Amino acid sequence: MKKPTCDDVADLIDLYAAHECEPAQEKAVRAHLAACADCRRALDESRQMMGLLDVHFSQEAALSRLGARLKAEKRPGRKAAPRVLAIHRFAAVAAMLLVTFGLGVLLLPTGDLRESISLQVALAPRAKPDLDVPGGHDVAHESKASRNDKQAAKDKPLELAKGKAIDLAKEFARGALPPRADVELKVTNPGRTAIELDLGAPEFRCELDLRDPAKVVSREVKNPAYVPFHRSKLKIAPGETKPLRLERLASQVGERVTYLYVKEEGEYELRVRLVVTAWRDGSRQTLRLTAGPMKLPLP
Amino acid sequence: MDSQQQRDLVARAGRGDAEAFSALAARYYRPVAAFLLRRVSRPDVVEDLVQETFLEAYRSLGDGARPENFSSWLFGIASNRAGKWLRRKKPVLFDPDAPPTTPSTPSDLDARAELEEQQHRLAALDAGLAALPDDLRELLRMKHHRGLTCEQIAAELARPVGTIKSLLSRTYKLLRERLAPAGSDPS
Repeated sequence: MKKPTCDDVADLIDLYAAHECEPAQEKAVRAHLAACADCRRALDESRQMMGLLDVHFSQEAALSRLGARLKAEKRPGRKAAPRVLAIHRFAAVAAMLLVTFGLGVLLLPTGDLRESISLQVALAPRAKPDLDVPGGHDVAHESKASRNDKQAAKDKPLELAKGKAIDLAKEFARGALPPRADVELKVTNPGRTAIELDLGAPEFRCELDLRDPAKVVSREVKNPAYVPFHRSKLKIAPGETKPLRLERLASQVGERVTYLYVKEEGEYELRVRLVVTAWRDGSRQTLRLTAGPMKLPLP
Repeated sequence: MDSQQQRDLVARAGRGDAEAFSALAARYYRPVAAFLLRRVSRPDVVEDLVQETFLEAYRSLGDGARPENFSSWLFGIASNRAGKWLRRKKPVLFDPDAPPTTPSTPSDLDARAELEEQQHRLAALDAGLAALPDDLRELLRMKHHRGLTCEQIAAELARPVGTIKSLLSRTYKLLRERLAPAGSDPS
């Protein structure tokens, strides 16, 4: 595409904001925007509009999520239980990760945080077609799949478990396997005090390092809205284990976020890094937990 | 919802009535979301911030807060949330090649003016959406509610991708023109 003028960019700006430009157009618009403040303002307006449309169309679902969180809240007016979070207790014990599949694990605590937190990590690709990632589908496969097959696949979630054989190539051909990998985590608190973890999305980082790029499809994140991680706070009592599911595993390399998902069957090296921020009375400390590398024996 | 009804709902929410608070949330969800969107310029984090705003409000009511003016108080919480989010160190989750977007700097909060402005923007959006033909509204629903790409929409509607993009582009342009007066600097 030749160098676009401001008029050209004005015609494309909404599609650009909606991540719907062709790659060549996108590149040209991006280059223009880098040098044109007026068009950047137009882009900001367009993004505001996209945001308002998201709010408009997702309001019902968002209110329903809020309602669920309100119900899960302690009833206001009751005296809250004393906060037993004791971050300094993190300084007590070396941390440990337990990873399913019996694979090697590495934990990298930062600072003097030494309270024991253990994680069990299991890769669990799941079919959740109702949470499709825009741009995340393997279009080539999808075009081959009949809608009936896809509907049937929607009704039958896939679960990958140790020892369970799934023909991934076949599932991909049916368009059944979601174009992403979710990760199941279990956070166990083997200490003697309760802990509170803040797992909000901005603090959360998960890396998937698949060593065989030929068998992996990656896509850049076009819209970070699709890096959801809803649970923001988690209280874990001593000895308690809480499950977490991190949807749409993303890899962050430098400042670039990429979705990676397994395209073909095989063995992969998987590395998961989770940044857990723990809060106490307004101050926070961070543990960086790394699980892996581990062999992921896909059938 | 008149002011007496609102006071009743606030009082009930203070006694732990989640349904009463949900009614307040339904009333103020969109204005608060639009306000936060304006502040942080990141559609992807708005829902989280809105949810945190309402949860904090619910907790505060439970702890005995009795705001004289619920909307001003709520926008104050939202403003604090936005400020906190803008100040916090966060990993960059977008394409580093993309041009920078500068989040608006929070200024002193004038909650009433904010509420009016957001209601104005939302009313303009609603009017714009209402004026659209059904098929274009459905197109937006597929894009913004179901999160489909143009390719996916085209496959579902059995229409060329180029046609879908062209329709979407025109629709956005129409809506943006509707929103433009509200989006301009009020001064």
